Amino acid sequence: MPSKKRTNTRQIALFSILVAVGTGLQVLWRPPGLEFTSLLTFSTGVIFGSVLGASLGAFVMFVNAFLSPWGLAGLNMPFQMLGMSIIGTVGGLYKMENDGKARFHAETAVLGAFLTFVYYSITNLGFAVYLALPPSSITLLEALVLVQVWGAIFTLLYTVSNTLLFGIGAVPIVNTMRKLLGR
Amino acid sequence: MSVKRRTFTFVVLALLVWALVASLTSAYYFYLYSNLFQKTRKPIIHLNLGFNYGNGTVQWFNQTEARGGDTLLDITMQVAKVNHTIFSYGAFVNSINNVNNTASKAWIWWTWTQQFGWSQGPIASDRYALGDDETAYWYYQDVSAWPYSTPP
Repeated sequence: MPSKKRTNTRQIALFSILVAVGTGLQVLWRPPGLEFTSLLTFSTGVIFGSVLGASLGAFVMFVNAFLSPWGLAGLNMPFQMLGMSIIGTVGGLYKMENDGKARFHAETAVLGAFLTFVYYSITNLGFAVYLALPPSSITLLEALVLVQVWGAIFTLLYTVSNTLLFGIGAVPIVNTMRKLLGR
Repeated sequence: MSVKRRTFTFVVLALLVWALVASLTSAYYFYLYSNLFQKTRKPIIHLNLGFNYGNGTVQWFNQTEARGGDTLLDITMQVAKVNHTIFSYGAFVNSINNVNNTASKAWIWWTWTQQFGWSQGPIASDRYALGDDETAYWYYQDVSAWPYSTPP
């Protein structure tokens, strides 16, 4: 049984690695429809709790806003940070027992789909705000409906890919991190 | 939470996401269909096409005649010398009237609407059908920083 001090050191080391990986992921090129940040943030939330999960999510999206190969996020940055911090928060609230049952693969797949949909709905709100700014003559609500429809294919792609990524990856990642922490 | 209740919650969540994503995707394709239908109703269309060479030279081809369903690239090739390369996502315009893209400057297309002002073209020019009375604009501009500046 590792001592509490050693456990804390391991926790700090693991969390630092997760922050570094999350930050590194933001500068790497990736094909449209595929991203690993949500899975990383969710898994961090499961292991370290909602506060650290949300903090990591918000931080990596802050970095993403400046360094993403897709360009500057601009006005959308706070919406991306909020969306990703929700994923980290839900990770902290999710109770995944330490036995790797198939049920958890199914549950995390559903959570992956749901959280991705929530994330893209929030970031679409950011684009809608941008679209409704002058000289545009449409209202925020009209802009929101338009952006949700225009962005439907991206939402669909990311929802499908994150359903698979979460369903396949979340349980082994969480179990590995637990092993590393001696839990 | 009991296992039964937990399973029920996740099944409901899965169905909810499915319903929402399917509805949005249907709305997207309905929007594409209606848009294309509206643009291809007339056999002959008239539109305005502009070129901004980024050095103060602006050329307009107002009321250019084209066939309904013609793409922006088709119509651009009617009035200008265009060099382009076809990729999986569509045509990439390398030069217009011998003005070539460089590392920091490229030909980007825009459309003008009263509602939104200038909007950057969302897809490749060979995939975008122009409608009657529509205004399209090729702008040779700085592409080293995003978002790109709107045409002057």
